[in-house]
Amino acid sequence: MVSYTIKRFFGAWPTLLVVVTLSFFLMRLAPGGPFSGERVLTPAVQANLDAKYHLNDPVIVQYFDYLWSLLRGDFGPSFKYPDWTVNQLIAQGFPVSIWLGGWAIIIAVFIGILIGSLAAFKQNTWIDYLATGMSMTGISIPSFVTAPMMTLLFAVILHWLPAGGWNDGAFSSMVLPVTALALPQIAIVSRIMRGSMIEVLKSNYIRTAKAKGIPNRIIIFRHAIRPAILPVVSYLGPATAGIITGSVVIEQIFSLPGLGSYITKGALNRDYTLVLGTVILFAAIIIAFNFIVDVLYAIIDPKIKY
Amino acid sequence: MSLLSVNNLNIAFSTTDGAVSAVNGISLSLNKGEALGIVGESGSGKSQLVLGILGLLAQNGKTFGSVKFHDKELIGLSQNELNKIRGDKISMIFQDPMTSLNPYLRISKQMTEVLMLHKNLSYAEAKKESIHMLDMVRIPEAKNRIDMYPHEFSGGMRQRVMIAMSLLCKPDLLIADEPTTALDVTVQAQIVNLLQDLKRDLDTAIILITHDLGVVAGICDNVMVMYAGRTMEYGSVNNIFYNPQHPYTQGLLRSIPRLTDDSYSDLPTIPGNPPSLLNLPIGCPFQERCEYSVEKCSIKPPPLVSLSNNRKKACYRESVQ
Repeated sequence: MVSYTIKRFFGAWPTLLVVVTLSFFLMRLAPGGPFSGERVLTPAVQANLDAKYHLNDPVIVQYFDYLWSLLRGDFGPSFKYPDWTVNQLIAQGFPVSIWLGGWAIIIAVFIGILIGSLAAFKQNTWIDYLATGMSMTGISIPSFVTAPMMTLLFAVILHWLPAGGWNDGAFSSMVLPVTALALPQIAIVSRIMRGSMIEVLKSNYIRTAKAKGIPNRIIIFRHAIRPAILPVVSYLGPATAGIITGSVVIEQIFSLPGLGSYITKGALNRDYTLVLGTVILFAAIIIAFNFIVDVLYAIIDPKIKY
Repeated sequence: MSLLSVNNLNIAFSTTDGAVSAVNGISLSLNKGEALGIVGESGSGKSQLVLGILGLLAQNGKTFGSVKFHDKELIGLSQNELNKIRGDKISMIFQDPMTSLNPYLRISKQMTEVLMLHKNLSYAEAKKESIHMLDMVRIPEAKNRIDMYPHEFSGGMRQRVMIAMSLLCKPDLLIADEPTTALDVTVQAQIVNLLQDLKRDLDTAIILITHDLGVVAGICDNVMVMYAGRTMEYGSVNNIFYNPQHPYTQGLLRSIPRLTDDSYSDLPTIPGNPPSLLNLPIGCPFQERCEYSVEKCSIKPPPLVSLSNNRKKACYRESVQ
């Protein structure tokens, strides 16, 4: 296991390098640059800007400069937020996104697994139909519909919760955005869980457990949950990575200072360093979560050995 | 008083195509220490019969009739009440040892849970007893192997683990649903020996479902031949093997390959296929494939009549010698 971890750790670097290289050159290939959107600059100003950000160097030199600064953990200065480095922007937005997304995923996992297992165990009863119907609704309605509707109900009409804002992560400010983020995930997790649980409950070893006189409660928790949860685990790896790096929609609707808005703004502004920084962060998190999924698989399934 | 007595048991499944009647009016009785073999083609309702006795049918299955175990009616008992009997007084081993053990749990966990549940033993006591039982079915180094996972065992060993697991509570009745089908011949012989020992040493009653008439001859006292969910013939092993009365039984026995056969001749078979259980014929279910079929066979199914002591058949044809 330890040697596997070490192997995976070193194996991740080439992947990251490919991601960095591809995004670096794709950014440069696209027409326009960070300073081309605003009013026409005088040649002298343009030359000064290019010189400051080394944009007049050959692209290949810029690439190796960027790699060198990455090695020192420096994502470079932002092109569009003067006086801010990309490190500072990420340090500001990332904790907000982790906090929101982390809670959303934790809630989605628990409720989704519970609903999915229950629906599978009561297959083709009203409980199953209710759960399946609700999760279908949860998947179909996008969060830009549920989020404003919840704001309307709980903030504008009932005045129970604030309509938006971060408030240093106060509980009341978290409820609506976390719920809006968690709802579709609950729906997806419960659907996956229901499907795999139904499969597992049909398996021969569950029949053996029943023939041994094991009560249903123990059959579910001891015999069925572990195999049934595997597909959920593999879904959750990339899904968690996506959610904790921020959702543009949710952040906009609840005016939260998360990472999601930086990614979109960076891309629209052709803010080379900001986009690259966030893409690298995203890739690193995906790799990390895939690794966590592999480790969880080995823990859950005794047949898997690394 | 017999240990198990099944009376006019019917099992039907509701499907989208209509009702499938898998078991049609089966009666049987079994005494302590007696071994009954149930033979018949695939789809003759053998497995559904025993699953129905244990209340383990699929959700769409329904059981009608009476199953008395120790004079207690099992049909209509709640799952909770059945759970007290299953695994304790009646236990079952299944056809496919590769998939019948939970691959995610250690053998120790799967075995001890039976004793902890039914006999209220502590984990340590249950584990000791489980190791003892694994020794009994001749698992080498049971003490170390008990903490392994099923995938670390071979097929034959897994079936022996299954048998050990089913015997933990010293059941009065062991139901074995094709316990040797998935195993190779040498391992089959070991399993047959093991079941013989059990019957002799623990006085366990056994219901053995199988296609393999050789296995029946090795273990069973009596044989029931099933076809389309009905009993075709019932009798002692010797009578069934040496003096089969029903044309279906005769056909089954003829279809056994023999080493002395001319290797260029085709293996005799019973022509045709079993009838669809969705749409059973009005008369004898075997009538279409039967070489002795007469007119009344297609009008009314022959009743199961006693020929002599411990001998029954469901056929209009005169007994042959």
